[in-house]
Amino acid sequence: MGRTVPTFTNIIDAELASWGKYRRGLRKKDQETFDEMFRAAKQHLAENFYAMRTIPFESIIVSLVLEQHKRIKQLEQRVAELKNDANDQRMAL
Amino acid sequence: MTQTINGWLFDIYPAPSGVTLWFIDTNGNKHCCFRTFTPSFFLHVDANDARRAEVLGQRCPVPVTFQKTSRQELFSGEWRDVVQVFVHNPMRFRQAVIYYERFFPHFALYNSDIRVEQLFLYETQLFPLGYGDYLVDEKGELTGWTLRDSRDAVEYTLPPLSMMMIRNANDFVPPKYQRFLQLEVMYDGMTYALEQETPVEMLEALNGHIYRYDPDIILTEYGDPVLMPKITQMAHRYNVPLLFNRDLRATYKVSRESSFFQYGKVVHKDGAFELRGRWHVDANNSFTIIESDLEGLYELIRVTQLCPQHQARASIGTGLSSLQLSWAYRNKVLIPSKKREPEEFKPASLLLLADRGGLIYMPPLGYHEEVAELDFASMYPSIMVTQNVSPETVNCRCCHNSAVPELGYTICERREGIIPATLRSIVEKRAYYKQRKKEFKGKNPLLYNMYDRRQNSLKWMLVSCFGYLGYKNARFGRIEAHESVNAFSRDAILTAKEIAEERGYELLHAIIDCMWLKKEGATEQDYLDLCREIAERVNIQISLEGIYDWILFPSSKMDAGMPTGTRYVGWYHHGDIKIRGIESRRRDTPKFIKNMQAAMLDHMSAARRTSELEAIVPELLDVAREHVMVLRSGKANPMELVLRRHITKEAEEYSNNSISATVTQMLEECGVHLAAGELIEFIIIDATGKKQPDKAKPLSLYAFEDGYDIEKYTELALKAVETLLSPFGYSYERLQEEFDCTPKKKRRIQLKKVEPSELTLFHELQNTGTERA
Repeated sequence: MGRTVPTFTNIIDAELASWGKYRRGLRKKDQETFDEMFRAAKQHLAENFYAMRTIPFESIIVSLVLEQHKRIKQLEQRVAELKNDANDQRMAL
Repeated sequence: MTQTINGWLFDIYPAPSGVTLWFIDTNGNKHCCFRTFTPSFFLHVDANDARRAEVLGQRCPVPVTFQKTSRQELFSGEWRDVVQVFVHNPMRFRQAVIYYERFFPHFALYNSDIRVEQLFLYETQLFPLGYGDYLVDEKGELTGWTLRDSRDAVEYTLPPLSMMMIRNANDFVPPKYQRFLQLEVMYDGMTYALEQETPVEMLEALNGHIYRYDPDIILTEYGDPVLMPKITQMAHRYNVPLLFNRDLRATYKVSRESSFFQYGKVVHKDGAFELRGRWHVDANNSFTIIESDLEGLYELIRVTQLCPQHQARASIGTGLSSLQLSWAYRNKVLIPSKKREPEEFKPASLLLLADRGGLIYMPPLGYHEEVAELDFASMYPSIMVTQNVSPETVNCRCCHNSAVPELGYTICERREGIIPATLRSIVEKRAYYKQRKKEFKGKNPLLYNMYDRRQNSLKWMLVSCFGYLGYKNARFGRIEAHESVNAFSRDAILTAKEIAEERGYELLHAIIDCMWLKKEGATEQDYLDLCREIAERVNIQISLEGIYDWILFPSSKMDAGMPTGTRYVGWYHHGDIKIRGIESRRRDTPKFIKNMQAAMLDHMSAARRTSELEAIVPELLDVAREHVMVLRSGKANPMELVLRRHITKEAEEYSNNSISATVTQMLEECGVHLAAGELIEFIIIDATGKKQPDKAKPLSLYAFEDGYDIEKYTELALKAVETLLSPFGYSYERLQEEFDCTPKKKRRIQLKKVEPSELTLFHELQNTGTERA
């Protein structure tokens, strides 16, 4: 009510809606991944909102990439841990 | 012979050539007196039009006289030559204004739409419940006074006010739904039922009680919409003059009910029924009373100078305006009758940056332990006061300092704005009351409650003061000032975040003016030190609200994988619980389900860590199961299943067949007409509408044999359980199986798995790796 600029949640929802056709074309499994991806943008609402880029899609993409990068780092760490474990086991043998 | 009344100003209202005033002295005696007063408004016109105004004055229906004077314009700060128009009959002030509005554009009129009694109070700087010596001559005219009291005083004495309560004896349903009233009068610790045979006897009995006790305040339930109009109508029909007014020559002041649109909701406000020489306060039609009792009302009328009965029914914004109007009068500043400061032109890129509110982060889902909550105290008002944000100081013409972060607006350094000037004392008063309240906590419940109510009544004023900067009807509003406050607030919370992170704290969550932090092994002292550091840097007080043993950020109802910013529940270390936005706190939850969730939360109070919570999950399920079983057996008390909702339309306007429509139309058929925004109470009989034609029944038409919709209420109950237990893997579907109440048809889409476990992802990664190789 009474706002000139929509909230960022609205922007994300609108953006998601505009990708509706693309989403429909996806396979069910991919659709779920697609939804999960956009969820990442909602988790960074405050940052997106604070920056308020003229083209909001840019900051949505950055949020997605950021989340992805976080995930990659987590996995890298996990790989390293598992490698260490494997080494330890080999040593024990 | 002149008489001195040592006491308090009690009531004030316009009379044919001035105002009537009521005083209560220290012995509790009431005095009625009179003061000649000629209200005036201003015309800002050129010399030609000034002459025309005088000529027009001869044909004005109310006698008027003129005087040339000068007043200050708020935004430019310049002094303007204006014509002051005195209206020689306060009762017909409005009529004179309407007459002149026909000949001059609305922006030429100033100070024209203010109530006469308010004009009097602003001009004299007297205020209701103000203590002092008032001089009255033998004709009963108030000739002078010495105030021994100040509006800014934080400790003050109040007159001994006597109170009578009038209400309908049958309080099971609101009297609006009843054709016959059964009145009950309560005073002096006694309750009297008016059970006379005839209306005349009943009215005379009522008169008898009023005469005997002579109450200062008549408190009613539903007095404005039903009781008072009905009683006075009856008195008129049977020709029994009532003693409601203490001033027997005066008439009641009645205004109409209205429905309006506010904050995206349709709101209904009952009409007002005001008395003369006595206060009539409808406990159900008073935001102030509901929020902070009579103690809060006393505090507010002293601060805002609004007439008590007006203040009791007013929205918070009215009080705030009154503060500003009073300041304007003191400083000879013109008060525009309508707001006329348009928004400045700005590039779209700036508009995008400017038109934003405070920052709201998204918390991580689930339970967290050892979390501290830090709150900025009165953040927005503090910003306005310390940064001097006011409509006339933002982007003033004299300074160039780009003081506002992000937006680069300038804030005047030469004069203090109207908003900071009026808010400063409120902010200070509230801080004092909060301090005192803390001192008396657990030691003196009487004083604790008093200070709590006082600070609460001011709280609402501070909450709304910010919105008033941008509100389209606020006289001293300007959108740029509104934007500036938001920009400062975002800057403050981000600075606070940065300081906390530098000190090694993890930011879990933040909403506009509070943040949730976590750090392994941090003590209360550590957090207090952090508060001090933040307060020094951003110049706004920030305090440690408490440390939670555990706090839950439940998932969104729309998307199980997403948190929501404003819903949480947690137990503080010091043994208090804080609930926001979940079922037990929401108004649209039936009592039965609230009780169930409260019982579960109560059980969870003993747990100190999340691991302990996990251990008691089976017990929590038992608590829930007990309630769900009662519900499913059909033996739950229907009174605890009542749902409340505000309707948005009138009965005939509904085109769909929703529950609100059904209930409103059923009431309409019984002759109860509800306006948009009014509250309905109902019990759901069959939400699907398949077995029963009526989906729900209004409480006043409900009979026990109607039963209730077991499936629908089970659904509501399970959702409330899910809110608390979903982090432990108990989704809605799993709860249905757990409690053995899966309906034949599925009501909700399957919950998606939020995060695939790391290990499976790892395997997938390995697989794809080998494939490529």
